[in-house]
Formats: sequence, structure tokens, C-alpha cells
Amino acid sequence: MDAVLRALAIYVALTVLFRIAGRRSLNQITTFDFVLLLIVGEATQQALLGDDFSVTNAVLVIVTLLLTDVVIAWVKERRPVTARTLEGLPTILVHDGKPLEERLTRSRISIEDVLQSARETQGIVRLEEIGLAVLEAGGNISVVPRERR
Amino acid sequence: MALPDLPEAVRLVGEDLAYQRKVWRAQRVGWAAMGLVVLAAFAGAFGSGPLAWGEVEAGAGGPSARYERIQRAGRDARMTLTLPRTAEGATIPRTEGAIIPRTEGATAPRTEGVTLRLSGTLVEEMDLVSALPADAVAARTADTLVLRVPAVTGAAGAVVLRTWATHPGIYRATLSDGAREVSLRVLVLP
Repeated sequence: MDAVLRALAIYVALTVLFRIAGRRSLNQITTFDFVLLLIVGEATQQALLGDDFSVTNAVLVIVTLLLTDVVIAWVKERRPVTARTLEGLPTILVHDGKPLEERLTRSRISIEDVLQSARETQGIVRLEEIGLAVLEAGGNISVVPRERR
Repeated sequence: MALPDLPEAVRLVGEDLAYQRKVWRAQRVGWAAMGLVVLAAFAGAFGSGPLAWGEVEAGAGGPSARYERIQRAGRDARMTLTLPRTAEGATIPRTEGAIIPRTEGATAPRTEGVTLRLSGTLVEEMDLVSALPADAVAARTADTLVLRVPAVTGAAGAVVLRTWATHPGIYRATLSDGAREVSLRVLVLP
């Protein structure tokens, strides 16, 4: 029972903390963000397993985490309010070549982040060429060109 | 294809700015809470800090305990049980189980001990990792630890326990030297 409770507690804690940290933490990942995630994983491991390094304990933890994820996905599918609470909604960052400052600032996204995504996904190098840039619920920035070619 | 105007784009994308503003506000509250957690951790609210340490004394001349009142399950904690400092040549009160004092001279160190009892749910919960001196533990039952505290004339006798709590909860214990007693309470965090 201990392993199941530990896994549930860690799942909830990580979900809440990453939601508080914001979407930017999960995407636009820099080298430092990557190292940070590794450290989070390392710190979590001990709390998940405690002093029991048996295969049984590891399997129990994995089964609990996967089952929790399946249940949450099932609930999100049936109750959209859960999905919007846990994952958030898309946010428009640039419209018609004009940056929407409040959304950018609050989302902690810079114009450089938007332009980087525009270059990578659409080959766009100028802000004026962006029709729509959207910070998706998953944390990635999708870019629609001003005029489709 | 013409670019939709902003309200139309908002509808198409599924943005809800009013809701998003609430989320941003909640995130700022969350960041503040995270800052408070870090400050509280520095202060010892989660163990290992000034707030975590507690000290109780069983009245004047009675035994005292310095202990971690906030501990974490699965981690060592330290508890020091101390007898009051005795004057040179003074008679240390003997209690049940105490070793008969030697009285060869005022300056000769006396090796008698005083028996202390630590009992309660804290003792039931904790695993005793070690005790200093190593032979300080005279007996242990399910909920009582009987300790023999060595006493040396002119010094405060003490026993240092390293304990290990396995389950979170609030645990209580009573420290007694037979004549006086004091209660202590420990919060074990998960």
C-alpha cells in the first residue's frame, strides 16, 4: 500500500507543480531546463521507491502511475473542465503580424521564442509574416503564416 | 485564405482569455506559495532547521530533552536526553535501577547513572538506530525505552539517540526520571 500511496502522492505533486510552473517549463526546453528535469526525476525516484528496491515495489509504482494516467485521461475525455484545468487552453500570442503583449508577458514567451518556432515550422523569419502564433495547451507554439502559400 | 480577425481567431482556436487570466493569477499565487515553502524549509518547518528543534524540561532539576519535533519518515532524527549538571560532590538523586554511586572522594568521577523512561506512541513508531553511550539502553518494550544515563560529577549526563520514523503522523512521548515527567510531541512528515 505504501508504494501505491507514494506513487499517487508524487503524481499529484508533480502535476500541480508543473501546472503552477507554467507551460513554458515543458516546452521551449533549453539545456538548463533539460538538466532541471533530470534533477526532478532523480529527486523523485527516491521518494517513489523509499528504501524498498525490490522488483515488486518498482512494478507496483509503475502500475499505479500508468493506471492514474489512464484514469485521468479517461476523466479528461468525459469532462472537458478537467482537461482545461489540468492542461490549460491555447493562447494567441501573435495576430496578423502584431504581438499581443499581455498574453506574451503573462505566458513568459518572448518574440524570439515565437520567431524561432516560426522559422522551424514555417520557414518564416519576419514577425509581419506571421498570421497567427498560438501557444498550445501542450506548450508548443504553432504558427500560421499570414498568407498561405 | 483570408486571415480571420482576432475575435474569430479566438473562437477558432478555443482561447478563453478570461479563464486564462484566472490561470495566470493562480500561477502567481502558486509561485508565491513555492517561495514560502522554500523560506519555511530554510526555517526548518519541514525538519532540519531552527523551527524543527524543540526542548522540554521536566521541571527544575529534572531531565530535559532536545529533539526534532518535526521529522520526516524514512530519515534519521536526533534526540538528546540530558540530566542537569551536578555540583562537585553533590549527590545525584538515584532512581529505580540506578547504579550505586562510588564515594571515594569529591573529585573522583562518579559513574552512577539515572534511569530515564521514554514511553508513548513515539517509541512505538520509531526504530532506534543507535544510542550514545552504546550501552545506554537498558530495556525496551513495545512503547517504552528504559535508558541509563551516565552521570559524572560536575557534568551533565546525556544520552544521544538516533531514531528513524517509518510512518507519518503525530506521536507523543513522556520522559520521566521516576519523580518528574515531561511530555513531548513529534510531527513526522511523509
